[in-house]
Amino acid sequence: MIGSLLFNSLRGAMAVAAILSMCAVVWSAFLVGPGMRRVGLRNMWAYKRRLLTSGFAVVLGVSFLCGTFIFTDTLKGLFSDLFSSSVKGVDAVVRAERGFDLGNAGGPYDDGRSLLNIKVADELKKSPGVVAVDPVYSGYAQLLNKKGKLVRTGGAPTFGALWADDDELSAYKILNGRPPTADNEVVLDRSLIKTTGYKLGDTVKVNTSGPVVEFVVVGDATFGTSDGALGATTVFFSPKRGTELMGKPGQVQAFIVRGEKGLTQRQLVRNLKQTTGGVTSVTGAKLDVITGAAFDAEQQSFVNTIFKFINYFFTAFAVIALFVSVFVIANSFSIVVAQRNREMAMLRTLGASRKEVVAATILEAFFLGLVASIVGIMAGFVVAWLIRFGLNKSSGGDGSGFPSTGFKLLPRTVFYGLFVGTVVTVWASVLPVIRLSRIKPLAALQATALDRSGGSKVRLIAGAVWAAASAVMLAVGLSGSGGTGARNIGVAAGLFLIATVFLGPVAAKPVANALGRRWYGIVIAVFGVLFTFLATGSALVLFGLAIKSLVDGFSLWRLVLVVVLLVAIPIAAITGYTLVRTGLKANGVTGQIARQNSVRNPTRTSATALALTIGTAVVCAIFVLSQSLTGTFRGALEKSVKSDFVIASGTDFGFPVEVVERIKKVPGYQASSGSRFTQIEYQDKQRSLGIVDETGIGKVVDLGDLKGDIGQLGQPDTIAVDKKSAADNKLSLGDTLPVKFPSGASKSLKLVAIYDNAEGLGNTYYLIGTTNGDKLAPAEVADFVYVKTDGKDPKAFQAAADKALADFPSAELKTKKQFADQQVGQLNQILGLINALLALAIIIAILGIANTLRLSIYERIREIGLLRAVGQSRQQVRAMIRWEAIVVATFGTILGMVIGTGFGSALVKVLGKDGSVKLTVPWATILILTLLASLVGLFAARKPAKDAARMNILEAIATD
Amino acid sequence: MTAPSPMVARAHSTLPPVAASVRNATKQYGVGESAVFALNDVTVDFIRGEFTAIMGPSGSGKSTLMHCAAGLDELTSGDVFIGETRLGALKEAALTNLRRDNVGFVFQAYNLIPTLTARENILLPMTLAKATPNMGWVDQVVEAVGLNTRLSHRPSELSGGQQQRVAVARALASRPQIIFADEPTGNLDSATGNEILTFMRRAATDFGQTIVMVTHDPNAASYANRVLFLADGAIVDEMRDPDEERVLQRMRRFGR
Repeated sequence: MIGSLLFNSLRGAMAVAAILSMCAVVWSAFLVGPGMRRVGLRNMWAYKRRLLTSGFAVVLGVSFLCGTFIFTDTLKGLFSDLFSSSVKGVDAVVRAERGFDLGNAGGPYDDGRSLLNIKVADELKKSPGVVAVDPVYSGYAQLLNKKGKLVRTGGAPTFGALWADDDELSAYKILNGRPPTADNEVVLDRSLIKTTGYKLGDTVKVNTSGPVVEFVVVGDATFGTSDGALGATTVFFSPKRGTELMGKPGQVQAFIVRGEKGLTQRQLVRNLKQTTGGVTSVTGAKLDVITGAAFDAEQQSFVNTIFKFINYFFTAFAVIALFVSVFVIANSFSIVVAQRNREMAMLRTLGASRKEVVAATILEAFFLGLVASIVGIMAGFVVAWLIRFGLNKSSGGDGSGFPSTGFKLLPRTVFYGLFVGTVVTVWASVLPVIRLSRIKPLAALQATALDRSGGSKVRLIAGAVWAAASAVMLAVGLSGSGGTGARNIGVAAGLFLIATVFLGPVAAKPVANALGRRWYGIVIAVFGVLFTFLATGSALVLFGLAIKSLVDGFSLWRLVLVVVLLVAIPIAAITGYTLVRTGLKANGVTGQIARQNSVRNPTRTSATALALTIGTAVVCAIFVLSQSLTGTFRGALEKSVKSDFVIASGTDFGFPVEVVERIKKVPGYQASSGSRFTQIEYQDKQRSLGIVDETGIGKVVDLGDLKGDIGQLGQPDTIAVDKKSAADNKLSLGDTLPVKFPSGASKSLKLVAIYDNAEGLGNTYYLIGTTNGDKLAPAEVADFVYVKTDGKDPKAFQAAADKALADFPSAELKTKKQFADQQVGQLNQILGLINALLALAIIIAILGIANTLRLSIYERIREIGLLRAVGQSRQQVRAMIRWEAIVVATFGTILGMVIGTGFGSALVKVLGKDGSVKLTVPWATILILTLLASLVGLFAARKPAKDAARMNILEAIATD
Repeated sequence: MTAPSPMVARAHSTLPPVAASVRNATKQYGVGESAVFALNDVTVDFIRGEFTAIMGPSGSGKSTLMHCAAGLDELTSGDVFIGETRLGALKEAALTNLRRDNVGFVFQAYNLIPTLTARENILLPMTLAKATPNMGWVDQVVEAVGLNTRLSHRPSELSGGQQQRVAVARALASRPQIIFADEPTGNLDSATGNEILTFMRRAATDFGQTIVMVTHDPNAASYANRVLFLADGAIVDEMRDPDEERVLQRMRRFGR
C-alpha cells in the first residue's frame, strides 16, 4: 500500500524533475547572451576530454535502457507475429471451458483445459457454414539426432502436434513429401531437418510422453516462409497416433474451424454454439467457442504479459546503470565547475550575472545530454545485439535461437532515451553549479584547495530523515510478507541509498582514514601475491589448454583464445605485482598523502564511491538471495529427503511418468515419491498441488510429525495438507475441502493426513495420491521423482536403472548430490546473466572514479609538481594515486556491501516467512568482493596515475 | 669588473669547493632563423656555503638557469654538476633521487602540501627517501626559523610568512648540497620577507649551506654574498657583497 503510493509519488517526482529541467533549459536559452554563449562554446571545446568522459557515462546508461527496449520490442514483435500467423486462417476455436487461468503453460492450446473427444469434429462439421475442421493437440515431442541425443532448443519449446489437413487452417505448409497418415509417419519442420540432417524416408526416433518411438519421415514443413517458429521445433503426427503418444487416444485439446467465405467469424461461432449445445468435454465441462480473432487477442495479451515482465527485468538494470551515471555526471560536473570557479568568478567580476553563469552551464549540460542520448540510442542497437548474442550463447541450443531479424526501434524508445539522458544530465549539472555560484566572486578568485564539507548539520539532518524513512519502510516490509513485503523492502533500500548520498561524506572521512593505513596496505599486498599466483597461474593453465586444443584442431576461435590468454598472462602478473607494490607503499609518506587526499574532500570521495556502492549493493543482495535459496534447497534435500536417487529431467519439459513404472522394476528399488505438480484452486486462491505415490512418499520424504495416514491418499477423493495450511484454514482430519482443478472439475476432497514438514517436496502444502491425480489432473510428465533403494549396491542400481531408462532420453537418474548440483547450476546460470548485466553499472562506476581522479589530479597539479620537485619518484606518484583510488573504491564497496547484505537479508527474511527460504549470508563471497574493489581502484587509477607521473614538473609548478 | 675564472678557481686548492656548477650551458627554443636562446653558453660555479642571487630583467634567462641547474629542466648543450655528479648522464629516476637527496627547493608560492602538517612537510624529502632524519639538526633548523610552536599545524592554519619559513626549513632539513629558491619573498610583505632572507643568509654563513636564489628584488639580492646579473641568456656582471643601492643602480643600467 505504502509501497505503491511511494512508487507513484516517485513517478510524479520524476515527471516534475523533467518538466523543471526543461523549463530551466528554456530559461537558460533566453538568458544567455551572445557573449556568454561564445564563452560556453569555447569552454566545451577546451574541455572536450572531460566532456567525453561525462558524456560516455550518459551514453552507457541510455544505450542500456534503449538496448533493452529494442531487444524486447523486436522479440515481442516476432512473437506476436508468430501467434497471429499461426491462427491466420482460423475462423473459430472450439475448446472446453476452463476451470481457472493456469497461464499458457505448454503452448497456445495447452493451458490445462479438459480434453474433447475427437469425434466432436463430426458434430462441428454439421454446423452450417463450416468448411473444414481440424483437431488440435499441442504437446511435447522431442526428436533425437543421429547420435541418439535429444535435439536441444536452448529453452524454446519442442512441440509435438497433429497435422492439420486443411491448407488454410494449418500454419505449416508441406515443402517436400506429404502429410503423415500412417501410425509410423511424421513430418518434421525444416529447422529440425536442417539441424539434424535427416532426409525424407529416414527412420527417426522421437521422445514423447512414453518410451522413444521410431518413425519414418514422410515430409518436411515450413512455418510460413521460415524454417521453424522462433527456435521452437515441431514434430507432426497423424491425429490418431499423436493423441495416443502425447495424451489420451482420441482426445484433443481443441478444434480449429474454417467457415465459408462471406460468413463472419461471429456468425460462425453462433452456428457452432447452436449445433454443439449438448456436447461436453471428456470430464463433462461445457464447450467454449470463440472467434479466431478473439483467440488471437488472447494470445497477444499473453505475449504482452510475458514481455511486460521481461521488460521490467531489463529496465531495472537500465535504471541502475542510469542511477550510477547520474553520480558520475554530477561528480564530474561539480569538479569541473569547481575548477572553472576562477573563470566563472572572473566572468562575474566582468559583469556576468550569477544567473547567466548558471544558465550557461545548464545549456552546456543540455547539449551534452542531448548528444550523448542520441549516441546512446544508436549504441542501444549494439546492446540489443549483445543481449541476443549472450542469450543465444548461454542457452546452448542446437538450433539458431533468436532469429537475427532487423531490430525494431519504436518512437517510445527514442523518446525515453532522449528524455532520460537529457534530463539526467541537466539535473546532475544544475545542483553543483547553483551551489558554486553562491560563492562570492572574490572569494572564488582566491579559492583554496581544501573543502571541509564533510560534517555539515543540514547534511546530517537530511540524511537522518531519509534514513528514518527507510527504517519505517523496512519495518513495514518486515512485518509484511510475500511480494508486497519484498517490494517495501526494495523501497526501503532505495530510501537508504538516498540517505547514503547525504551521510556518505560523514562516513567517508573515518572510513577512508581507517582504510588508508598500513594494515590495509598489508592486506592488499597479500591479496596481490595471491592474485598474482591465482590469476597468472590459471591464465597459464588455460593458455596451455588452449594451445593444446589449437594443436588438436585449428579454428579461428581457438586462435583468438590463445592470443587473448597470451595477453592476459602478463596483465594478470603486472596487476598482481602492482597491487603488491601499492600495498607496500601504503605505509610510507606516499600512502599517507594518498589517504589524506582521499579525505580532503569527503563530499567528492563519497559521491565517487557511491557510484560503485549501488552496483555492489545490488550484487550483494542478489548473492545473499541466491545463496539463501541454494542453501535452503541443499539443506532441505539433505535433511528431508531420505532417498538416494532422484530421477530428473534433462530437458526443461519434464519426463514421462511412465519412467516411474520402469524404475519400480529395477532390482533394489524400494519406494519412490512419484511426484508431479499442478495447481488447484481452494478458497479462491491458487495453490500448488503435489500428486504423490501414497505408498512411497512417507518412505522417501521426511514429512515430519504426521497426523492421520498418508497411505489413505489411495482412497478416492482424498487429500493431505500441511500443518500450517490446516491451521490457517481451520481444518482437521476428516473435513472435506472443496477444490477446483485446472480442467474445471470441482471435487470435495476428504482430509486424511496432516503433515508437518513440507520442505522435502519443495514446500508443497497440498498432496493427493497418484490414482486420484491421474483422474482429476491427468498429466504425462513429471519434473523430479525421488527414488529410494535398499542401499545394498547403489552402483549396480544406477547401471540397471540407466539401462531400464535407455529409451527415455529425457529422464536421468541422478544421485541426490548430482541433482542438487544440477539445480544450483541452473540458478547460477541466471545469476551469471544478472551479474553480467550489473557489470555495466560497475564499468560506469570505474569510469566515474577514473574521471574524478583525473579531474582532482588536475586540481592538485601544482601539489604533485612540488612533490616531484622535492624528490617524489614517478613510481611513488603512481602508487600515491593508486592508493587513493583503492581507498575510495574500497569505501564504496564496503558501503554497498553493508547495504546490499543488510537489505538482501531483510528480503530473504520476508520471503522466507512461509519457511521456503532460510537466510545464508555468503561471507566469503562478500569478502572477496571487497578485495576485488582494490582491482577496481587499480584500473580506475591506471590512466590518471600514468598522466600524473609523466607531467612536466616545471609546468605543473607554474600552473595557476 | 673581472670574475675569477672558474677553471682557475677549481684548480686552486685553497679556494672553497664547488657545490654545483654549470658549464657552457645553452638552452635553445626553436631552430634556425626563429631560434631563441634562453641561455647562451653560461658557465658559473656555486661555491659551497655561498648565498648567490641571480638577477636580471624579465626574459633574461634567470629562471631557466635555475631550473636547469636544479635538474628540473634540460639543457640543449653544456653540462650541469651537482657535487661531482653530472646531471646530463642521469635517467629520470636517478635525477629524482639526486634532487631528493642533494637539492632543496623554495618556491614563490604553493610550497607546502596542504594535507600534511608543518612537521610532516619539513620531513617530506627524507620520508620520501625513507631516510632517517638527523633530528638534532632538524630541531636546530626549526628552532632557528622559530616554528617550534606551529609544527603540528596544517599550512592553511599558518600565515604566509610562516608557510615560507616551513618551506625554507624543509629545504634545509635534509642538508642538501644546494638549495634553489625561486622568488621566495615574492608573495610576502617586506618585513616578513626580510625575516626569511635574514634566515637564509644565516643558513649560508652559519651552517655553510649553499643557496641560489632567483629574484628581481634588489633588496632581496642585497642579502646574498654575491649577485650574478643575467641579460639575454648570458652572465653580464657579478657583484660581491652587494648592497641594495648598488644592485639597484646596476639594474637600472639594463633599462637603458
